[in-house]
Amino acid sequence: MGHAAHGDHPPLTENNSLGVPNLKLAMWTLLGGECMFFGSLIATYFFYKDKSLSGPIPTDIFSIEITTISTFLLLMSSVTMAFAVDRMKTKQAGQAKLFLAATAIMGATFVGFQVYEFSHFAHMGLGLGTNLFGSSFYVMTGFHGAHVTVGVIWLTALIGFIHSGRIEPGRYLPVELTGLYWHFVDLVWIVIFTFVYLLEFAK
Amino acid sequence: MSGHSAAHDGQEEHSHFKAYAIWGGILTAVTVVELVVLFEPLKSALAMDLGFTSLLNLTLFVLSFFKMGAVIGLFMHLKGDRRVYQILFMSPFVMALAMVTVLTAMVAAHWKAFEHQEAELAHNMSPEDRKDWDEPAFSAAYADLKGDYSKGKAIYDLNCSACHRADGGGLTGPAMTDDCYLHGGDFTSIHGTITNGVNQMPAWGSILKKSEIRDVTYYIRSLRGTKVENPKACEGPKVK
Repeated sequence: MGHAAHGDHPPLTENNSLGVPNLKLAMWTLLGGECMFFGSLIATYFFYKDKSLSGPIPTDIFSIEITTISTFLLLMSSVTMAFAVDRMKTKQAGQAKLFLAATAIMGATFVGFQVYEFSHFAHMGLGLGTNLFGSSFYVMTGFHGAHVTVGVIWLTALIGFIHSGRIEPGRYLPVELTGLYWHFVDLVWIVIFTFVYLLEFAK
Repeated sequence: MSGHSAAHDGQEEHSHFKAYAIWGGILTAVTVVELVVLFEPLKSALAMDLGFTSLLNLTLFVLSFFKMGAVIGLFMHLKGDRRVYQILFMSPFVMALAMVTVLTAMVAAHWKAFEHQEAELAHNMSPEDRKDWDEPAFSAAYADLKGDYSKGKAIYDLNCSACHRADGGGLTGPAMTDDCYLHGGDFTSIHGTITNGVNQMPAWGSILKKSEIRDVTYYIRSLRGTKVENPKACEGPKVK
């Protein structure tokens, strides 16, 4: 039962019958659960968005410009994330850190745009408790934004760990796991972008 | 190959940099297409109704699913990866998709049936009914009209009096006793206001039956012109 020098290092050992890294199994399980989590928030939004009795409705306040920029940001951040994982695999830690930083910066900018959008909506009269549209919209996109924020903090910590040598070059599993989380966050945004925003503009 | 361990999960250490860059470009292009179709001339060109949705919406769905597939399969590397990962993720992903689809379809079907009912009602008014409602002096002889006055009163007392007062003088809601109507004073308008709601007034269409709304509409119409103590001031334009 020989394990290679690259890939996972001790004390991370595969003590499961599948022989897969426990952490990766756990990450995929988390993401599966998150599918149901965001699925229910999105479904609730669809159910409630046109049933408000008063207050702003989607077509009153949605802006395609902000949303488009946000979408491109997150999409590009997924590309740089993939680059980062790739660079860790080929043992180029310096470049990996750069790509992780680019990912984190784009993610942080995305969150910035979300904060701007939320405050803009609030000024136009849409609060969390204003109407059904407001509550379902803010909870859905708020949780997504929170996930992006957690991801940015995670990426920053990861850069630090690589920089300090705590993660050796060639041990790409931590970066890969970060990538899985980050791509999922992008995936949720793809769904929200199309089904929440674009469908409103398609009316 | 010696050195090949289970930890790799079938992924080799060679670079996929170029592939990621190319796919990044493809996904960007697809996003651009998603935006372009929202503007003319493509927006009109794709406006065709397919029954369950429009061609434009379907286009957006297809493009979106393409992007999802690329992110899951290639960026998250699920394509060609261990079966256990694929099942662990795709099962709840499909379940979530099914949940959203079923809920959305249920809502759409309900509203479609509702709108159909409304159209039916508006078209089924007889000329006599229409004439009665247009009369400026609505007499107390409403017993021979089509709605059930006593049923309408019961519904009104239970549901409407809280906001419009038991005698129709108005409270948080406008008075029913004057000639002023914010949203129209003819049968169809009153019926529509009750069914769909407006501002603070709920949409009673999802709570009351079509016949019940018809009955309460007749009752409300009968309150107009009645004398009550301290009614609310006139709200909205006066109708004949």
